[in-house]
Amino acid sequence: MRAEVLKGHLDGLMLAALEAGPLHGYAIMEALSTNSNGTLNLPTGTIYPALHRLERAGLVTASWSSNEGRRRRTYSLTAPGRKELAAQRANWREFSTAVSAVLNGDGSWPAPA
Amino acid sequence: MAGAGVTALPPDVDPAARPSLEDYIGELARGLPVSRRARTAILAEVGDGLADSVEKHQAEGATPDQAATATIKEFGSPRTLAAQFATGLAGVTAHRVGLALVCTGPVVGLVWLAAFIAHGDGLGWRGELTAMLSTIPTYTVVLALVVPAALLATAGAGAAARRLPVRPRQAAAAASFAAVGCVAGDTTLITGLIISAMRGSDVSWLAAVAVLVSAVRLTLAGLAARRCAALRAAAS
Repeated sequence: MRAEVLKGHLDGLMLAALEAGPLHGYAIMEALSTNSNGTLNLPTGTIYPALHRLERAGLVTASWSSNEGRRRRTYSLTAPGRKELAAQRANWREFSTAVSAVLNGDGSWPAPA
Repeated sequence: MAGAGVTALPPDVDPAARPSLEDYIGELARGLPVSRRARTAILAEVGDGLADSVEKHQAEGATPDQAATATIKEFGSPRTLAAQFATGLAGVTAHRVGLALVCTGPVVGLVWLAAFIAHGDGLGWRGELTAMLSTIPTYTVVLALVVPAALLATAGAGAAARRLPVRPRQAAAAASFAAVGCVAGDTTLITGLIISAMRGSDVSWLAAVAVLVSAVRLTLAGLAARRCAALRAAAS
């Protein structure tokens, strides 16, 4: 899937990848690819500026660790990050239900009053 | 930026894969107009990711050369990556510069006003302020341009960014403009005082403090203007 298709959803996807526990940048990209059966294959470099943006917004925190001369930056979800993930999930459910209804022409959305 | 790729890559990367990855890191470094500390951190993080990717491809049976080629393809263009980093940093830097100018402006202004009052003709602060601005009319024009630009720059990030949708490049341009305006304003004030002293006026210790305060801000504003202009140019 091309990067521009995912524009607007990358933040939610990264937050979801971090929900199970702290990960470093490359592992987050691997998690996105694995959990989508290879469909979400973005340029890996994209993940790093996006993670820095989430960090500045206070949605994730980052910490450095060092092992055998190898420095690694690991990211964790913050409380506002969990709240944002819940909000993005709710928005996505509403959006995908609406788009599916329109594309499939089944008239199931919006729900009748 | 020589050696950026060498130092950013973990030591356990296969030597046969290193040259291509070092070139990648070197090109990324050249596109990052940030402080040495910020650049080192970004390069170390990306270098760790490149090493992970090479290891993964080698574990799947690729030669070191093939693994390096696949990794670079996977990571995308280093220029694009540098532009993405620069875009994020342009907004944040503009926000900080804008805030700094908005906060220090009144302080510098008050020090100069105090210097004018100390030297003045007993007009009171309102009269002295009017006298100061009419003595140096250019300063009024500078203020009228710098203050809105600095406020616009604060919208590069933080709470102001949610209220005023300004693109990071626009915020960086505003911050750069405001900082250059500050340099012009401080230079005008200092020059005015020097001319006044050369004509035989007494220079009070408050005026000397005002010159010192303006000289410090002028220097910092000059550096900030250069950083913001560089980030704006590098951002996508």
